[in-house]
Amino acid sequence: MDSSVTLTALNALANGLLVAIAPDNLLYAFLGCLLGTAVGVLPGVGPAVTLALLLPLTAKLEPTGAMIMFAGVYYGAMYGGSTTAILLNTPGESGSIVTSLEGNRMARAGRAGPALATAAIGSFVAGLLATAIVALLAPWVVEIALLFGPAEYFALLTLAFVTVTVTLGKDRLKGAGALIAGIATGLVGIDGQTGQPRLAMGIPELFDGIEVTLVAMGLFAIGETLYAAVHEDEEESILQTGPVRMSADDWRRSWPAWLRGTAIGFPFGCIPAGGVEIPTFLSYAVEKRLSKNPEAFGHGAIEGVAGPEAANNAGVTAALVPMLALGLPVSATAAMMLAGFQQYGLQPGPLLFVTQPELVWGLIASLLVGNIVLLALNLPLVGLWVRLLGIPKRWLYAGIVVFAMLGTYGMRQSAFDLWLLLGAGLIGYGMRRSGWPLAPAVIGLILGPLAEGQLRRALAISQGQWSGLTASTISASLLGLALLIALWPILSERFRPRQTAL
Amino acid sequence: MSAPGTPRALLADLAMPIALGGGGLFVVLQAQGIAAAGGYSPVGPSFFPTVIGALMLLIAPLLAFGAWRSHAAHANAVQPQISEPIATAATTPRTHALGWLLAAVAIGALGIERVGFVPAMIVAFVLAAQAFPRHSTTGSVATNSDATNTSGRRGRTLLGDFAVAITFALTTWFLFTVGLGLRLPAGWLSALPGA
Repeated sequence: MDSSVTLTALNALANGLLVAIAPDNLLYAFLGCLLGTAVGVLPGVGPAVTLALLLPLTAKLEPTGAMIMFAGVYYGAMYGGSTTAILLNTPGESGSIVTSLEGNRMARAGRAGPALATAAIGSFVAGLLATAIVALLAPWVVEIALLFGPAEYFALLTLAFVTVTVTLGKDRLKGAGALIAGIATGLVGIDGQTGQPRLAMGIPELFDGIEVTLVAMGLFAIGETLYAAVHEDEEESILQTGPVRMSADDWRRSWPAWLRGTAIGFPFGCIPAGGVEIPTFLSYAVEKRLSKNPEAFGHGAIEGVAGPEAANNAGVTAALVPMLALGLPVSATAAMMLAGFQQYGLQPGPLLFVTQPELVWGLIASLLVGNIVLLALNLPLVGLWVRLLGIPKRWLYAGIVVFAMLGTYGMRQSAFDLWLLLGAGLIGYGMRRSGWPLAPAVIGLILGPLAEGQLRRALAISQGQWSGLTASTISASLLGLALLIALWPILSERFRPRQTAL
Repeated sequence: MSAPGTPRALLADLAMPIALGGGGLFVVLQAQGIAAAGGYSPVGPSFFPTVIGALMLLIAPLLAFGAWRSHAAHANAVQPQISEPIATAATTPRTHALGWLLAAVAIGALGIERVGFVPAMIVAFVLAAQAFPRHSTTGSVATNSDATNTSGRRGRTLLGDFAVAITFALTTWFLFTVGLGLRLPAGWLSALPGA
């Protein structure tokens, strides 16, 4: 590694830390963590929705403060999601599905306290390590990213589309449907290059396009509420009270799992749309394999919470590398972060490191601070979050509906947007009902316009020659990789030795 | 969802593919109406929508076929359907809940600028609450739900909904307008601080 780049990065991070621990910024971080956790623990509200719901809160702050508060919300929401996964067996997002496997078993056995603690400390360890790696890695990715022209970006986006379709959700076809529908939604509005309205049906409110946050709130918050109202039965949870602290044995079993989880989660987060599903499941499998008593798994093994939680947090933090350096959100949560940036007219990407270094490094540093604040806040407050879950469902979901409307209206003061929210909610319900993954739709909505812009720019540069898209080694290999991943099911089928069953 | 394998369930499962196909048709048709302006880029504003719309039209029948196939499989052997993300599969769907919730958002959309944020949100909150059964809690502090559906009980619940709705709407109003400087329509309550 070129030591000067690393040194500059460390220097910048130190400066960022100074920004982040300024009293008012610290207060924002604290407030963000508190609100993020409070909203994130509500069942059915995953981290992405929490960010969407709380986005308007930050709208009136200056960018640095807003980003710092946002980082707090982000961590708080993540942690809140694990809390519901453990206490209620309702993972708010795909990354905490594995957490709920062992975590909820532990909670039912009266070990909710240690389960929540190992999740919190595991997330803390993973977040700390991952943020440090992000700080070291991001400048290098930026250097690579600066070599990227429109053709390379288009190839990268194509790769992201393919991996999103393949990794998010169980059914590729449904993932592809969600992605394409999202891209189509992103087309609505004035075409940036020719100034012509597209798919707007002459409705002036649609000329500016459809807000990402609106769609996210419709799909996630409203859609989830509709689904819960129609399909979910009353369920009583039987929670036993027990010791709140982790025992020495819990510690001994947890810390190797935290480190392994971090190591598994980080690389996946860096890949465009690597997602957190695979690394969390992988971490679970690894912990089960390495455990001295694998038969404890399925009955509340603490390693099964510690590892996947660390993998989840490391993956989500690592997702900031492509998000900050390339402007590529690889998860729904990162997509909401991107929406937060765009609210200030900031386009994440390599140039942001050059033009707004104090903002980028302030954000990375505030992730570190947010992580610490979160731990300090949540270990004592676990009891409070548990009590929050006692809110009757009807008031909880009614509050979510009102909050989603507030967030939507607050963006552009347009009642028309509330009708769009209604439509997005209905579509979200339909998707949930039919088992379509939601995240590809949001990612398509964000990346679709980028992909189109880069494609048209690339073709303008190559004067209309389609071969221009594969002219450079980088773009050719990225496109090749995308093709390989897309065709993988067919290829693996062909080369697999014939099996008798199936 | 109605019992898997019934014609009604098939229709519901076909809703998304049909919507996708309809959307694709719309996108393709609209794209033809976009004038190919003589820009520098050889790929004009109608190219991308045409491709995306075509892909939607391509995927929709495949999805419809998948839905039909799993329906056919269900018709033979009824298996528990795994919904995603992990949710407790309900025995009887409360379809009427859709109506309450859609009404809530519609009231919000119609009312927010006519009568103001607070009144519109109070009504929306109460409507949305009706979509859920009474005494349904999400967590440990579960109240013992009994089946006595007397009208007095219903009235008390409605009263409770209104009380919570008013508190919630006013709190959010103050938090966002006075606290954060967000502008929300005051409507009927123009005397409120923050209006």
